[in-house]
Amino acid sequence: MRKLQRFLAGLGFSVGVALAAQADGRADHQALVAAQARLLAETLDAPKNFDLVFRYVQVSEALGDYEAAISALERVLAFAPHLSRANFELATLYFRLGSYDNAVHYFKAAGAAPDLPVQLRARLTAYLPEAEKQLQPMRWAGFLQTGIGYQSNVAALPDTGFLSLFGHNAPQGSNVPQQSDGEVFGLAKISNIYDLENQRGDRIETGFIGYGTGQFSLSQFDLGYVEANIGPRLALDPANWPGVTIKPYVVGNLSWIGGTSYLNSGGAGVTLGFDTARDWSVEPDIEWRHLSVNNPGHYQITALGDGDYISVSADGIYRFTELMSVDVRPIYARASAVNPWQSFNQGGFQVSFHEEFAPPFPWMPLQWTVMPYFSALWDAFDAPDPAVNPYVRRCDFAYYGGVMLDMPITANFGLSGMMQYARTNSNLPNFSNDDLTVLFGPTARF
Amino acid sequence: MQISRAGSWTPMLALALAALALPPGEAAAQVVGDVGAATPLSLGTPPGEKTRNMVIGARVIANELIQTGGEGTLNILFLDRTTLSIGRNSRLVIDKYVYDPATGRGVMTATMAQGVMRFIGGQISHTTGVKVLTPVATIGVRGGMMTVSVGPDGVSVMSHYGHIDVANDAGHQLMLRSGFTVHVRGRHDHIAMPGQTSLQALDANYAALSGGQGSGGGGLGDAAAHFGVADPPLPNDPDSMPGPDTIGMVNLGQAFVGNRSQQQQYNGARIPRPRD
Repeated sequence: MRKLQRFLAGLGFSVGVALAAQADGRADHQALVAAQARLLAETLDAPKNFDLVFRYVQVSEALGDYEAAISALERVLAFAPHLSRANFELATLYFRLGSYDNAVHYFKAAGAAPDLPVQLRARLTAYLPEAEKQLQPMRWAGFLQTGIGYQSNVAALPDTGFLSLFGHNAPQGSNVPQQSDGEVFGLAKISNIYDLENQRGDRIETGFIGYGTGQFSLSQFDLGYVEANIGPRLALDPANWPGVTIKPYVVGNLSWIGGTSYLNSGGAGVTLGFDTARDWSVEPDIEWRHLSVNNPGHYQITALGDGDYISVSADGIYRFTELMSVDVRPIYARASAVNPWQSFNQGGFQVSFHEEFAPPFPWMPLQWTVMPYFSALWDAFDAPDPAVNPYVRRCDFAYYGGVMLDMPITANFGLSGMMQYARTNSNLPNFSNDDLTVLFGPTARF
Repeated sequence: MQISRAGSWTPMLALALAALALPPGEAAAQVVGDVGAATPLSLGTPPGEKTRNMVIGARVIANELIQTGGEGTLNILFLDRTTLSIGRNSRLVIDKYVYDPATGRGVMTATMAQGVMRFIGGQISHTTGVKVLTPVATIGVRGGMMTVSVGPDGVSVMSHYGHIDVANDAGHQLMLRSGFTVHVRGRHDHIAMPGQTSLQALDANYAALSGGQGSGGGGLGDAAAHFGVADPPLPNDPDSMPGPDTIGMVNLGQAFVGNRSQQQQYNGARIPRPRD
């Protein structure tokens, strides 16, 4: 519990700092608007005073007025066409506006200049291929990681030392107490966009995610999980509601534990996208899946059973700055299993705070990212499980919190790790447990 | 024009004083912008006046015919932050420019007869929109950036940002995405769907807009030494990094293992001893 309190205190402090910065930002906005107007006026009076122009660029960028910054910098290039930093800056501004062909032009111009600073040349190795990729109708992106990990309670064994059997507490008997184990793991996240190249911006999105572990000792808990989804993302009214989209999709997953099939599902969903502002976006989603679960044994006592699973969720992102954001994902779900004691209502949320910061060496092209996160879920089951306790309807409260660190070394390779504490409190002893997880290893991205 | 913000007085006053300092014919005309950069072969012909060389800081007058030669390029900066970069061998007239700094609204219409022009929208294009007339099409811009080239085989409009509507007597095409180009051959010809801009065509336009070794003459002096705005960097691509989705994935996997384990516990499946 103390670990959780410390984590929450840290998360609260981070969010507090961000909110304070946001308040300061609002106060600064009016000052920046006034400064931009003053600098424009002075620039009109003295068009060859480039100190004024550069200050105008800085102020315009701070305001998010990228067009003003672009116009000023392109005027600078009329005087000094080979100024590498101006070319680089123009490239990043066009990139931010989604004008990737212009970004490619200016990145190449910046790269051709011998005096481009080391730090910017390093970024160029990541940014130019990314801008070129955005010009392709078929675009792939991916993140791959492998490494080693540790879990303090791989098998999620209860921390009370006994089980509830037909309403009576019994020793765990043949079962071992909580046991830690090391593991090797692999994680893959791959997405594809097929741009239909119309002016609506319609596209077909395909996503794949996979996760697998191989336990050092408890090999019966080796895990394999793959999930894929595909669907068209269609603009609703791009002329009047730019950034508002709808995406119907189909989704499915396969999983294995200890080499045998565990939970497979198939279903469909609809996501609405509201990416209409520079500082926030939200994606509500509704999804239905049919679950098929292989629970070996006579008694079906776990939360997951054959049946339907419907979830209503949303993914809301608020960007304090381009490099600092908070992501909140509330969810409500209903599992309607064949057995009423495996049917439940679920509610909860996941919140993560995302901050990118400068890498320790100037030759590293990408920002490093730290992401503290926290999630809480409440489960209320429909009926008591007679095999566990015929008089007690199961209710769980589960939470986890941790921190993830992503450290790209080159544009394509790096290191990443995460550390997490998870706890489930249940009114039935069988399901109360906790676990500490650490994962670390090399990464690849494209 | 209305003036309400203190910060807007200075340029307006400067333009008014400049207009008074112009020859009598020019003083009566409306000043619409300033020349921000120019090569020597850029000319301006105000209505009823003699042709003049456009130099940095020169005022641009409404209905002034602006022409560039084979090496001439010109950059005009307007009060609402609109910028026109005019390439070699171009001819352009600013037909109408009215801007109210208090509301950010105004009217801007230009006629382009020949050559290449890059338009970067300011306040007017974000509110009421801007219109550019060409021999074969009319281009409406809202909150946008574009490059227009007018030649003997028609007009090409490259969209860089915003909403750009290209219309002629046969119809129109609305461009909502950057990186696309519309080509119009004749006033009565059908306008084809926008196609992706080729990097070669884009580079050719940049070459036409470029003043070679620099339009201003004299370079930036000391200012270049303290130019450094390349921060903050671009954010990383969320599709190429770990995030809430991968964390959710790890936890889902662990939840699966936990459920399988609990099933085994209850049914008395013996958890085997660790491997040697």
